[in-house]
Amino acid sequence: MSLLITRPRYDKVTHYFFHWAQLLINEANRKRLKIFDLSREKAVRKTVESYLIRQSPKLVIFNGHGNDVCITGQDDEKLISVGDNEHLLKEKSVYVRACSAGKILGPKTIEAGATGFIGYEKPFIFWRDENSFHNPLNDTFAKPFLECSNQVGISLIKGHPAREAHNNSIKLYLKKIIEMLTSESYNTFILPELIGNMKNQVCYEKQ
Amino acid sequence: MEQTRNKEEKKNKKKGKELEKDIINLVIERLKTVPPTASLSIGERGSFSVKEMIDHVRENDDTGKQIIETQLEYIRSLKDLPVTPEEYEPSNH
Repeated sequence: MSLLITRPRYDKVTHYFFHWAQLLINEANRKRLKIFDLSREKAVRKTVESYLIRQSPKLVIFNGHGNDVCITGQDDEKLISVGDNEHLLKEKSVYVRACSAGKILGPKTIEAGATGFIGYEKPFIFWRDENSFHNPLNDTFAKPFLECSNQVGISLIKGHPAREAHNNSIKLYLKKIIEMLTSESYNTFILPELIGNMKNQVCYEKQ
Repeated sequence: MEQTRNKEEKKNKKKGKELEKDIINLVIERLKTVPPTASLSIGERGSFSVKEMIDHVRENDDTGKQIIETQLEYIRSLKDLPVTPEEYEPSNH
């Protein structure tokens, strides 16, 4: 199996996604997947389209910004848009860690022939600790958000179908939420947004 | 009849405004408990310090409304949260 992953890096959000997505690449390496890592200036439409067409990866993971109808890459360049090029995701399993793309782009991608799509119906929100900006993997405020979302990618890389990957991620969200609610954890202030992301995470599969 | 209805409408409007004010105050009080080094990233809207979040909530602008809605959904969701992950049924599409 092969994996295409986009990792733009040009603002605080993409800086965090960039580093946390490295853990997905590490997992893919362990599983001996062929990896196309389109990071920073490589995360642009022309390159993404070229890899989707020529390499035909079975698994595609996008990290970045987005809205109801599109996913963006480096410097906010549109990579995939409804009614334009979502057909390039045909026969692929897709995970989008970006705002709101699960609302319209998700179902449209399935209509265009993708085997599975996991994304978020509303903005993907997370807390950060400004003191950990240069060490995002050790940011205790951001960690639950990015671990739970990473779980989708890890499950897909391990070969699980989209629905199972989605469910595995939801289980991890709940484990973390329950742990926080039943302990004297000092960072329970993150719970509204953590629960929000969990509820906004959606999965579509080809019937 | 008309007069009574107008009075009722005014009363409800006043109640609504008071409730909105109470909700805003509740959210601000919750935000005051957040560590000062924390900041919230809301996609393309950007990142906000606690102080900036409180300002947006007070202003009740789009970002403030987003913050309020997330807090309210959280409070509402507490009664439905399962005790173990196995009890949760993820939404199906």
